[in-house]
Amino acid sequence: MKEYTQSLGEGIEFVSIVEPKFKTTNISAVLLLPCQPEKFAEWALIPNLLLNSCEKYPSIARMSEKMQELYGAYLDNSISLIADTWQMRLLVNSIGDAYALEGENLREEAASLLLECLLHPNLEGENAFAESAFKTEQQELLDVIESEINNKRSYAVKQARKKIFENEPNACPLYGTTEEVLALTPEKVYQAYQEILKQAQILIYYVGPEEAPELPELFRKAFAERKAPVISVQHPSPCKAEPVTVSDSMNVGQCQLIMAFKADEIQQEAARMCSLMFGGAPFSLLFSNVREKMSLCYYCSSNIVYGKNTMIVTSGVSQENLEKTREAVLNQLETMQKGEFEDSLLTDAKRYLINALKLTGDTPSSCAAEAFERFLRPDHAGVAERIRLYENLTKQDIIETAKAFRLDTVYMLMQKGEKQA
Amino acid sequence: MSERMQEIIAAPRGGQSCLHVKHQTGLDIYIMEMPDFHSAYALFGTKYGSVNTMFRLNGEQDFAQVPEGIAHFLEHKLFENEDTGAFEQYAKTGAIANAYTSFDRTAYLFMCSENFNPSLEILLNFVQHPYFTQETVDKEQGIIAQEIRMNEDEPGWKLFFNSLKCMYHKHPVRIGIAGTVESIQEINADLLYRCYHTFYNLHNMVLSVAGNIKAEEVLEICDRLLIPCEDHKLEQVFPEEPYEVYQHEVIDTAPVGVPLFSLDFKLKPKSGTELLKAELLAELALDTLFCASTEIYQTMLEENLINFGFGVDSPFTGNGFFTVGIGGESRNPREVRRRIFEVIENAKKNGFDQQAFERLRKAKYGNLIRSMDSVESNASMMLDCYMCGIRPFTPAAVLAEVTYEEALQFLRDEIDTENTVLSVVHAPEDEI
Repeated sequence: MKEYTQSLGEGIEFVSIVEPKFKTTNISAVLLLPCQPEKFAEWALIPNLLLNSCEKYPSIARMSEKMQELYGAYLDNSISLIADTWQMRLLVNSIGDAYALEGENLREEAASLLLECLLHPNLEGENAFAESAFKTEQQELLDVIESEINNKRSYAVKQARKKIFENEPNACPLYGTTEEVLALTPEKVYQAYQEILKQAQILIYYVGPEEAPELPELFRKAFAERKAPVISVQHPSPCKAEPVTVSDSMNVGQCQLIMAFKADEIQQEAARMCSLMFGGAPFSLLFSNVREKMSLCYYCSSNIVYGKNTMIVTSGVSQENLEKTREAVLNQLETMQKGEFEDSLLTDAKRYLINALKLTGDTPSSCAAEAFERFLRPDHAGVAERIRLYENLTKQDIIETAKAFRLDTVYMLMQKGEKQA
Repeated sequence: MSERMQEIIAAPRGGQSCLHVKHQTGLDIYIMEMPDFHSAYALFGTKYGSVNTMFRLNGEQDFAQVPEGIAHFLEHKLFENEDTGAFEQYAKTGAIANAYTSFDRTAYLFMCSENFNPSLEILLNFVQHPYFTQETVDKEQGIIAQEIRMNEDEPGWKLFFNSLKCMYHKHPVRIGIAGTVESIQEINADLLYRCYHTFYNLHNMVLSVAGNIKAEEVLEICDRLLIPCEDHKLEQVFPEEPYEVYQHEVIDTAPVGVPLFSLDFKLKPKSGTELLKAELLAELALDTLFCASTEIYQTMLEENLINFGFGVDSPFTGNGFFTVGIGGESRNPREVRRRIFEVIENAKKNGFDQQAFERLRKAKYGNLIRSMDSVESNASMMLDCYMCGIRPFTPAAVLAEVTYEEALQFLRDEIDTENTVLSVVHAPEDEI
């Protein structure tokens, strides 16, 4: 594997990862901005508006035809929060040139298409997205917001985050509210798009089977004359003085229990290891005890919210076992805090995490994700360095990290007719 | 021990190949060496899923009928041996392990970047050494009951199973994979052993491995750990299933946003390469008529009848069942159904866009290339092919041969707008 990073100007980087074993080409653009929750709705509309049509392919039908011609290439997008930083990712994936049946240059076509989408959108006049495309995307976003309720686990986590990160950008809905989306106009969203292009820190990742010498220049020209800020992604969330419990109710067969723990300060590897041992693997304390020994649930797992010093536990349980499960989770954390766990738990967790880290590099997407992780980290540590950091962790490091986590919020999605707190 | 039989099977394009070994114990083994990759992926599977509810072995007089959800229950319990659990053992190698049960199969799997051989030993050992007691069975019931409740709260799951219940009169595909909270109460250790010894026979199983591995090392471990077993000549019975659907429409409520719908076509069941070709033709024909580049898609989107979730689902097939669906979200699913029928009937009379068909065939070829780009998907492909009774890489060969004329003929002969189920799940406060 050959990798290099090239600065294309202020606030824009190009990363090339060439790995001959891959049969596909992935080109992604990551745009980062400091959170502005009041703009979440307009920002949420932008990725689909950019990828579902553009000046050259001005409808979803024409765009789809183009994708089909490129051997089922796909354009994908996502938005998310990394701590208090907003992220938009646009991606094009196509098969490698070696597999084109008629000798087409698919890599160049894919890169050009991504740039077309990013820089030459489907407009009406000079300062507004095309009305019909806008209307379609606006309705789509309204539907997405309305259907967030469908997945009960993720819905519960979203509701819980409102309390966990109260008064922080992370508490705000990523797609905005229905009212905010309805208030949008093609002009307003176009203006937001222009601001993003000017202000976002941009990272371009190319991962493919052969060198792509033409790409850096292509992207440099496209983003000339920009001055973007460098983004930070460490925004610890303050722990509440006293834990808060909130509940909601719905017509469901299974209740959702969400528990958030926060620490004032944590070391990232120690926190990830601690969360893995607590509830991140099938040999973890929550899995072994709350699920396997106590038979309380099908899943009870923990994970770390990046850059927020927060660990969130999620579990689906029956109404009558809510309290028992809550207690069991707290007991297992206490077990960790007191160091009452076998040394082998840490050894096993290290092996598990290191094994997972070494899987990086076997798919184009994991290569890009790893490079992005390096960019985010203050120490820019790569896989080898992170493995060393994990290997050096001691039982005492884990105990201290577990002790640092304090209960902040408990959220329960209960069966209709039952409400607590 | 008798000699094992082996052959190299090569992909028609993409430069890949795999080794197929018919092991002397009866097990089919597929190995794809991918030396440039760091990881390896292994699946140990049996042709045993939720539809296999009625069976007998050679020499037995009567067919056994077992409780719904027992294949899935067995999958959960097999992870526990007498001394320790499989997860505890995998923790010593660092492998990421899991398992799944579907309608027609159960598979145990792991992925790793190191210690592949000891992890493979764990896999082969625990799957071949069942240990069930009434106490451990009772303990599992609470866990699986919560899994069932979780699935029941998932509207897509509800939509799908409601449709299957309307589609099939008797075929066990109409029952949930995990069974019901009530049916799993009937499961005991003896029943688990009976099902285990019936279906976890190496003649009914496959091992599929891909990645940074060495075939000779895999085979050495297999030679050492596979326990020879007699082919029991398993016989299974599936109830006679009429061609017609049981009921044309099912409307249900749940806490959801935009109503979900699925319009499912019941097709005549097929098997082997004939099924594979039929699946491709069904998907290509319907995609040509309803994908995002079609006029009907565009029109329905503009009229707010559908959203971007609309599309043709991959065909759902297995022993005695074959359906293909078109679904998504809509506030007026009956109108969407009317439009879909209109387009299909018109295409049957007048044909459909041949250029679009060729574009989609090209896209499908791209997807096949794309699926070769990971260790995991290659191992899964070999397992899937075994389960479907075809050789690895057959899908690429069949795709290269299918024609527009065949797709049109398939649409005319097999896609029957009179034989469909419309399944809808909407919020109680909404009207459909």
